[in-house]
Amino acid sequence: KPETAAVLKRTVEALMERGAIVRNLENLGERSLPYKISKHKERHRRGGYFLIDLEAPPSIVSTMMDHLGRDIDVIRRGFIKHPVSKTEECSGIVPVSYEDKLTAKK
Amino acid sequence: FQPVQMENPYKEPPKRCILCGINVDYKNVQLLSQFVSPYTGCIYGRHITGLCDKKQKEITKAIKRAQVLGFMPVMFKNPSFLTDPKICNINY
Repeated sequence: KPETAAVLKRTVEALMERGAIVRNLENLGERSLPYKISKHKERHRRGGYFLIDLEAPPSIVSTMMDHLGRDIDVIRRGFIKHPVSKTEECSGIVPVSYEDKLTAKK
Repeated sequence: FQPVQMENPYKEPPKRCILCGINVDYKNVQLLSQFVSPYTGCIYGRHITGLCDKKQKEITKAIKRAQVLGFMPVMFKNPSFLTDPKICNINY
């Protein structure tokens, strides 16, 4: 467990160095991976999942992927856009007339 | 008397799919696994799930994302979610 804390600390520090603002760090628990992942000459079966809320310029992404790729303790890395949830406009299934679609001109 | 122009008063509310209004996230693996075959792990098509365009696209994107990031298994369905209620229109 102190190792995971050290890994997190390292990554957050690296992020802060490049000028990223860390908003939140969530632990999604430690569970057995859905499939065995072989990374850095080792076959992993269990892993801890962490989610870091970031605000950063997009130029950081490639450098951070490099950095995390070199870290042995990080099995899989990924950057995802922050999901802006807006599902209040869902207007249900709109009936589409297939005839019009077929005969429509581009 | 002239016919009054008004909106169709007998109009039914627009049909909603089962996910209309639910935010789809790549993290809730249980929801995503309900649209995956338990034997092969392949994602069900629109004619089976019965979702609208947007939601089907969102679900496929979320499933692919979860599979890549190591949240959801690829070749099969997570066994702890096998007893979930049936959503899709499929007969095994």
